[in-house]
Amino acid sequence: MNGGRRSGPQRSRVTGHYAGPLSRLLAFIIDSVIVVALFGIATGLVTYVASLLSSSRFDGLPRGGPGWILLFGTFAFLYFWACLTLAGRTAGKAVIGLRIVSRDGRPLTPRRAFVRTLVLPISIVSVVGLVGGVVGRERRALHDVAGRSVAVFDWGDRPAELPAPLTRWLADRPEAPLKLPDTPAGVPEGAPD
Amino acid sequence: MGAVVPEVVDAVDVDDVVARVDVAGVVGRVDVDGVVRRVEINDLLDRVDINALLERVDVEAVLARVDLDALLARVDLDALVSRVDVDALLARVDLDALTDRIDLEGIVARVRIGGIVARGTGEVATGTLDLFRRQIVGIDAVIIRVVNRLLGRDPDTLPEGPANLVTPVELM
Repeated sequence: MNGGRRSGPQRSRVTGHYAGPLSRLLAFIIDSVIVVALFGIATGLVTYVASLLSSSRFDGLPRGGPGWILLFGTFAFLYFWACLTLAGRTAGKAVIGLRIVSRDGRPLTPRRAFVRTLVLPISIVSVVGLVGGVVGRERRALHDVAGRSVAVFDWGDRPAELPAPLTRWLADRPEAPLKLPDTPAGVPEGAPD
Repeated sequence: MGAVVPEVVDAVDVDDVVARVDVAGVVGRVDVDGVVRRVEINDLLDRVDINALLERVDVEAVLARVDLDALLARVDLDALVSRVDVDALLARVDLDALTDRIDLEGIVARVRIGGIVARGTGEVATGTLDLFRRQIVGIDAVIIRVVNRLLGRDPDTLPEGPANLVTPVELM
């Protein structure tokens, strides 16, 4: 003990490491909720304003028709593409702490982001396209391969970290999947994991 | 006789007589201690008008000659303060009147409580978010570890991330 601090590895930083499947899945779920919510709000507002401006009742596109599917698909595409191009991450990825970069770590170009977003539905629908995100050396799904991109941990101005107990547990195993520091760190004992 | 005395007195040179007197010898023969013992100091002091005496003292001139720094250097402030009854002192302070004179609204406005609350809330939010993220990253690490073991991979041969994003050793 040293003033409430102890020696020994506490948390291993994983900033820039390839993201795992659970992180990516959760980010996608959050994005899906956001896209649906934004689409609902946007179409609701548009329909309301259109009904105010038109003399007759505005019914918009027929329900269940391909028009709504195309409109929703376009909206979702624009959401993912714009977010990846502008920030390298969507809102869901920002919450989870992920960033999409090119394989060499540089920011993704708009063109590669476009291809990646275009192939994303194929990965999801086929399911097989997602397998690479779990078993691949760089954990790249089909849309990552198409966009020449990878997903990495990035918590912005704070370091991405493993929980302290897991860090200690992995540190005792030479076959640990993530290389761990072998010198003492200075994380206060009792800090949240 | 009465007419002779004045003439004799006139004939005597007093100054010459005094010059011949051994004043030092006379004084040496005086019992000063005995004289002092016979003096009634209290009666003497009763006859002294202290107020009149003090009025003749130039206090400013006296103070000007006092070396206050040297005087204060000789004062044991700790001992002095230890003799102060702080409780009694505070009991005489009218705290209500004192607080009435404090501009609490001005102090609150200067402190910017809103900014402190916002900063604290932000730190709590980011701390909670990072706590949640760490659990996800931990589960991911376990999944990857299992997958690598099933595939018979050596983790040391696998890249951790893009070369220019991953430093060789990262410490926390």
